[in-house]
Amino acid sequence: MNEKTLRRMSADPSSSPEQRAYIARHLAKQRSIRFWQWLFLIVFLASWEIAASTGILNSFIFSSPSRVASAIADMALDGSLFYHLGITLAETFLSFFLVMFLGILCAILLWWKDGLSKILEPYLIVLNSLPKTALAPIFIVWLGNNMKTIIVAAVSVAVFGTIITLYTGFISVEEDKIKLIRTLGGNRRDILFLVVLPSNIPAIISMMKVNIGLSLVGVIIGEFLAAKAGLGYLIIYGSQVFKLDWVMMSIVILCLVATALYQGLSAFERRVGK
Amino acid sequence: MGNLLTLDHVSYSYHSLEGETPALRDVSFQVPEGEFLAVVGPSGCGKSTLLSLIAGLIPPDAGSIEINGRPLCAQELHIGYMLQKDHLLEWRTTFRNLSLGLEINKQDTPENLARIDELLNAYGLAPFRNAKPSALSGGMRQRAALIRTLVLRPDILLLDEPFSALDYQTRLTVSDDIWQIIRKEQKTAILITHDISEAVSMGDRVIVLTKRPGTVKTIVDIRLVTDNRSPLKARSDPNFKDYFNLIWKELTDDE
Ligand SMILES: Nc1ncnc2c1ncn2[C@@H]1O[C@H](COP(=O)(O)OP(=O)(O)OP(=O)(O)O)[C@@H](O)[C@H]1O
Ligand SMILES: [Mg+2]
Repeated sequence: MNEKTLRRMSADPSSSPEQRAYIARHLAKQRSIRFWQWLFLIVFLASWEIAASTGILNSFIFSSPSRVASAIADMALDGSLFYHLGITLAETFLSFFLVMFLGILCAILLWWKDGLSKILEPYLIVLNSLPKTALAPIFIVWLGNNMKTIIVAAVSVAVFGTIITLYTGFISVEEDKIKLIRTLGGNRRDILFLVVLPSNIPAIISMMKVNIGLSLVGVIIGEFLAAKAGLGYLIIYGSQVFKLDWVMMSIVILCLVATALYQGLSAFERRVGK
Repeated sequence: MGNLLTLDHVSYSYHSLEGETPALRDVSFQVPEGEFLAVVGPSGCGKSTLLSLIAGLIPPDAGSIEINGRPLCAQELHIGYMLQKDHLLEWRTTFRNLSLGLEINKQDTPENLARIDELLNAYGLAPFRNAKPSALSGGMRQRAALIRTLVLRPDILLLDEPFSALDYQTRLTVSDDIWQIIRKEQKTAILITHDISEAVSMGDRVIVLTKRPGTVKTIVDIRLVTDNRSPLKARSDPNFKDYFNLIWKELTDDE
């Protein structure tokens, strides 16, 4: 519950004084948590800034909040910030949708053909546990130093786990629900669309929450290796030419992007959940 | 009145790597139209298997099952099956749960959908038409599950311990309720139960199965003297106790 409704509840004359006191205590606790959270951030930024300006930290390698802020301002003014951010976001969304699409499709295929899942099981397990970064250099050789490599790398990071998790969810649908559809005259297609997929909507959404983060990870790794643009490229390039302000700036922006993407999906989840 | 359902020397075994489990052996009986038949038997004797066979979900190893004198055929739906739990789908409204069978069979015509509303009205579920099943009480859920099968106009209703998940008091009222509905809709029904008094109070006849592999041990005709019998009234019928004891004896004495 957000602060506004809580404040209204704490003054609600129709509830008992005890209930109002309880809400007020809860509100106070929330405020104190919020206060400490902000304090932590401010102290962190202030000590970083002070340490950098007094020379305790070498601001050339460690940058500083003010230098990061001015880097953001400069790059926002000349538009290059939005260019790199846009590239990274586009790649992330593309990978994310590919992962979800391929994941759901393959999980359906495995569910549909029981034999297929038995045959492919060991391969899926190997592919899922393989560190996908090991594959990235091969992708560069095969696909070239371009966006294709980045997307494929990002998809490979998340897709196998998605297939395995969703397939597991699909086969754990209650046997009697399937029997129900069959007694109503339904075939395998009806079972899929009427029971298996709908009952796995929560699993699919929680997979989406995981995958948006993994796609971002995959895209950044991909950009480290094969990119001429994007936040990952900016980080690598910045560290190579000792523009640590750019590196720090990109990391700050990545923090914000990752949070925003996750929050976006949480909001989506709440809407679907209703 | 002719026999609606005929089982003739039906046998069925399950196969697994651990071996063969004969579930039913040589089961024969007939069900005339409009009858309410109760089936009791020790647990694991193949009662659910019997219903799966009648519903055409599995084919018998031997013997034949005929409905209206014709062999059972999976394409035509003659069977309404009520499982132990109601299995209403939480993500659908009550109405859309009841229209499930119509959707699957592409029969969701305006007339058929209107019939759902009739049934909802007749059996007190109309206020919950657009509510999710979680808003329904245990008894209402069972009623909804019954209506879900009724909208497909089955010839026979199969009920596999449909009340066993309910607490005792609800169970008495819900079984009364469901029985009245089935009578009113003039359906033939086969009820599987563990509960002898439930069998005697609801059934026109009671079939007693032996231990696994199940086969028909006896068939008991229930003749009560109470007028306008209903399951609840049947329980205080003077003959009720005798039937109970008779079936109890059949179930417990081996051989
Ligand atoms: N899929 C299966 N594979 C192997 N054996 C099975 C299978 N289903 C049931 N059985 C066995 O067949 C026998 C009959 O099962 P069934 O479910 O028909 O019994 P039931 O009378 O309905 O039992 P309960 O009283 O527990 O409901 C049981 O011994 C059971 O273990
Ligand atoms: Mg059973």
